Amino acid sequence: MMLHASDSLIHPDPVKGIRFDRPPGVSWRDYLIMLLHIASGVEHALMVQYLYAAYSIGGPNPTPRQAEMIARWQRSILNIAREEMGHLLTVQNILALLGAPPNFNRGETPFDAAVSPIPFVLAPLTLEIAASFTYAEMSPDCHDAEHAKSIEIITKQTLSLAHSLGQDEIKPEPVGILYHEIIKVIGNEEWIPDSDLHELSYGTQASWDDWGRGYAPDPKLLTPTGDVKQYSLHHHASVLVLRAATRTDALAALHAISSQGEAEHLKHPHRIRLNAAQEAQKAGPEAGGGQDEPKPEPSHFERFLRIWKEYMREHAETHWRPHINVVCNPSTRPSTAAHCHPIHDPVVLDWARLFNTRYRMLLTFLSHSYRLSRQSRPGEPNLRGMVMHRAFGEMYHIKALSGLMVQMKIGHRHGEDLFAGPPFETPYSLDMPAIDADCWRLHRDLIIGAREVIGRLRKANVTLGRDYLQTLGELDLQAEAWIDGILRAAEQGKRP
Amino acid sequence: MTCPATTIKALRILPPLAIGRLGSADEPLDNYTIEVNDEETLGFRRIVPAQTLIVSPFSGEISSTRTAENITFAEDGKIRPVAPFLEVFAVMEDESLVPLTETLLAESGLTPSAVQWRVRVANRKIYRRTQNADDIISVKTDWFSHHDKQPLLGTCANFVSPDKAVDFGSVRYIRPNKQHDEIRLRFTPAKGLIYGADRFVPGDTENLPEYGEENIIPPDRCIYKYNGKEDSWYHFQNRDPAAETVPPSLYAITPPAPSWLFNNRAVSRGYFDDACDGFVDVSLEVGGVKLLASARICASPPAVVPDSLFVRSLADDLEQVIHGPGVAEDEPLEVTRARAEDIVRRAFETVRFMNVAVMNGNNFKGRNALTLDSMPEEEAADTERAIRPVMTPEGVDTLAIMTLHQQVYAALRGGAAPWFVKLLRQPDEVSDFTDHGRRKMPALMCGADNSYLALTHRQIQSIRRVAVRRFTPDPPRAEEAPRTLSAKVTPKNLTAQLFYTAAGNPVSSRPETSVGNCCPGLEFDFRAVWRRIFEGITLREYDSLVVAHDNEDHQLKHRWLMAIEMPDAASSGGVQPLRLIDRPNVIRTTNFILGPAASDPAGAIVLTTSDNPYGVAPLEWSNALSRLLANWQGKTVTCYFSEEQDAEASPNPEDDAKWIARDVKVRNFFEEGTAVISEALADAGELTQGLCSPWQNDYRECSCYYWASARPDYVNVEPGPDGLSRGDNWFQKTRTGSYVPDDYADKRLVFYDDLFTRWETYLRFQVGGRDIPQAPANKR
Repeated sequence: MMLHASDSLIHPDPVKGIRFDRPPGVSWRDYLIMLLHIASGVEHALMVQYLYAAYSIGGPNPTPRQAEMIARWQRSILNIAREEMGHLLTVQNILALLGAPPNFNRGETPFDAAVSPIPFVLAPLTLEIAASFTYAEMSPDCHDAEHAKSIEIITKQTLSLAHSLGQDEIKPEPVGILYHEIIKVIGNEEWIPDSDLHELSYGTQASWDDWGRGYAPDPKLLTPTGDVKQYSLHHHASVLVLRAATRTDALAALHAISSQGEAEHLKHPHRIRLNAAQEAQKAGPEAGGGQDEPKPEPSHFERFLRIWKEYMREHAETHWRPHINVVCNPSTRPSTAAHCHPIHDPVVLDWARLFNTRYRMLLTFLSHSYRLSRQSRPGEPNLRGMVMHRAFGEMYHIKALSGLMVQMKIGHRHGEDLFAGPPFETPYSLDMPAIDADCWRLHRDLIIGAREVIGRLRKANVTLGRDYLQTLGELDLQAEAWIDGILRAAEQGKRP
Repeated sequence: MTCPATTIKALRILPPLAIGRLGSADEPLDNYTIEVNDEETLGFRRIVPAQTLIVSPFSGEISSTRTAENITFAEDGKIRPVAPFLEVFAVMEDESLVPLTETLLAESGLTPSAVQWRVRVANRKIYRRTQNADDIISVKTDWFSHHDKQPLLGTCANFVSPDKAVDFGSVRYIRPNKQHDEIRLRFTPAKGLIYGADRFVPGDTENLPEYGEENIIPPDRCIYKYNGKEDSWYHFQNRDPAAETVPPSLYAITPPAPSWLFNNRAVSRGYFDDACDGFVDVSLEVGGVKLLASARICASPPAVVPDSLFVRSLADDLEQVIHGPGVAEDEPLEVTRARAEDIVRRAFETVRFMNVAVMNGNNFKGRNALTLDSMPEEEAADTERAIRPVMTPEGVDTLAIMTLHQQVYAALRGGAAPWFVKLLRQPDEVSDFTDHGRRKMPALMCGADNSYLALTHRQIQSIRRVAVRRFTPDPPRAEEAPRTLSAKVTPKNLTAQLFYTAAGNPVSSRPETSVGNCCPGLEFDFRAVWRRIFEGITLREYDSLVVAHDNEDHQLKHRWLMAIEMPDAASSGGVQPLRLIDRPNVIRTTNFILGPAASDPAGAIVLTTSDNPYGVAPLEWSNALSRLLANWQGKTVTCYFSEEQDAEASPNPEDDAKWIARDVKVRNFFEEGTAVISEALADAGELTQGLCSPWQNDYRECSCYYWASARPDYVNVEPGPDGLSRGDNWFQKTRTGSYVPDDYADKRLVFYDDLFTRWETYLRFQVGGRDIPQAPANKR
């Protein structure tokens, strides 16, 4: 990118509060790609913050009611994080449509920070954190009277969080404004002509079939004539991984992920509600059209708002802390930065290193899957499919390691035990090597690194996570043998 | 002190269900067990030799014991049979359950000769097809107390003469001695021979040079008398729709086979096997009171993958009968967690033997998926729709999918709560053929209802229970944490009785090693156990058609059991759903077959065909009736039957206004106070009558989407240079490392007559996922 840190992307606007400006010297296509990179970084950053907060949920001696409530919160936040993963992949797909490389970096550049919806911090689910998540997912022009008071408090708490983190220079903004700008730019045929859109990239883009893992509403039952007989009764997370062959597809995808976050219907009736109503009308009473329409899928904003409201109520009544006392921004580095918590315990430090390596493995497999998609033959098992499953495997490890790390004591504060958390530290680079064989060598390097740390932990005779380390070590040995086979074949010229 | 003579209250035989496995080697298989290797948790289970009891052929006592260094499953091309011991236990007055020993007998003033045994076994496979009672092959010994080998010679009214018999093997009352004074009996199953009719027409065997024009059944085993009539087993063709099996025509037929590729023409070759099932009875008179106890035995094919377990076993189904569809709230969480981990472990043990790409419905080596046996192919044929791969074809390599399961297993071992509960197929979703439904787990396999396999309710609930974060302190995952429920054998602990490990019995004699998705099954056809669950009514084993009933006045024959209403006070109040089958206290016996709507990708439609105009599929009894068994055994419920009496087409399940209601009593599943499956539910021979005749036929016709880790498909699997899996089809005669897709006409694969003549050569044992080295398989 040609931007300099001094270039500003956003400016105050008397009407909208804020507006984006394309910096001079940046073409519209380049600007769009930059915005998508930023969106990707923002989605990624939100996702890890949500995960961190979700894994922190716990708290001392909950009552049955509190236990039920926080279990629901955790499910809800993890589902939102899953859906953010879908957003991240959808953004990659639109980058592919524009002929741009995928981006799995996290929003930590000055430009990202400038449009960051909320201060970046890995923190337990405090009231302010819950407020900031709600704020991030709010529609920029949310004018719902019912929530006006809540939004005012949420905004105040979010700003207070930014202040307490020393990030006063950041003016938190809902993520929606970024998508509005992206939609505006990509929707303009003069700025982004059709020739900038690579229709053939469609086949290489990530699909819900591959990445959705069944996270979608159950199908609705239709009559033979196509009328709705019964709406789906179950609703779980809806992971949107949308592909785009055209501008229309791209706009639809961006609208969809944007409205999954924001509560679009707080501005106007929700699209899903409209569709459902139309379908019910079409079906008529004989076809079951009289049955209850499905409720619109709650947006991320609504889900966080509910959590925040319950949290407020609970806080006012009992002052109970619904999270484990995990530190903020746990780090493997001896950082002296404020609000960063270096881990000193050598064993926990190794767990944190192992976590970071698995996180890097996940991002590396993700990147590689996009590259391999351009080389793979469709219709039969291929390496892209293998790598995709590896990425899922690393997601599972991140889950397991996060669950273990929040049980690890690393100090005391105000007479209470302090616990670690998943550090989610970004590696020095996420760039993939130019040659495919070197990508496999990179995977192998990461496995070798993980093995060293696993060896250290096993030598330390850890009790917590002992069984897991054994099995993880075996998995890595299998993976290494598998990669060695691929590299041997590459050296013998069989592939790639 | 209590007088010892009065302390024995009752008898039990443990285990109450013992599986013998066929083989022609003289020496039975050594004892072994299997365990997860703590150093290689993702590897195959370790086969651990255990103490083997050596029975003297002369005296009938246990003359010595040994623990083999390695377990040898076959010797000189002959498979070693699994010959389980059955031990007698005494229920004492203090309600303890103790082994009956010579000493205990002596304390009661008795000797081992006071113990009497009887065995009743049968093979009803021919009868299941012909419906002619003269085709039942059975033997019922006299009561005996000697220690000689007691042969089990099955006779049949339709054999050429009364002295002709099928050798079902033998039993032996083991003579107690000082070192081994327990009262026990050993069942040694037969050799796995095939018998035939006294008539043969050239062309009955496969049209291959190596089989010539001669009968492959030797003359001394051609004992079934062909009488030229339609119902004679030789050249039998089923003409009665009510008598059809699922899958249909499960017997050896004259070429060409299989029947479904050749206009469903299924002319029987008249073959039958020496497998059987039935009862061992023991009797003892104590203080003038005659005490009786029974156990069930069966003879089944060998467990060819001894170091792996199938994802849903008979043990899972039986546990569900004992404990109900849920998990007790007070069960220690560690026990539930261990069960959930074990289920996931069995999932990857299963998937590693499947060529997932082929089973997914991918085209393979340029061949259209419609020409390859798989669940998607079967689904396409049944619904008369185009075939669709289940998952995206690019992501379904066996190694990738197996590794993914292993990653899940690792995460669970790390204490992660299972996050995939919603991806588990619910038992009422088995006929959801939308992508949404087909991609649920377990994927690509067939259940007992011929639709996609679901776990038992109890298995699902086990995973669900540990998936719920409680936010209260979990029990520590310490070494001393309990991994299983108490194994203490007491008269009331049916689980402990059912899974009791008798001394000397290999793990392959236990229900954990028997597949649970019986369609029709390998060891048992467990579907048969539900046929008479309602007093006075006999159902077809695979759906709800009434095939017989005691009370002619009810006129229920050939009606369909549509729903079962459990009188439930709790649900009688309030507003009830309009339709009967939607009410919470009503069990439905079928569900709709759903498929994708062509007009709307987010929609589903009911898939109907001319043969199935309402688009319904039966639901397997084991899951469907689990709620009923939990609360209503021995009580009366209301059954609803269809108005129609048509054995050929399942009626409209929503037409409840015309249904006929009858109050019927639910039988008890087990004999009172025991873990023996009730005799009223299944007589001798009935738990195996739905299996193939001969069983070898099933290994040819059933692909691995039934029982991948019991009837493997993909073996010698390893990563290839392209990073994808490579390996052999288990049925490949020559191992090349290049999988040959299953094809009934491909001479590179094992043929029907290969199995009928040399099954012990071709059913190759797999250890560590690889062939156990053996003599060349290609020589006759």
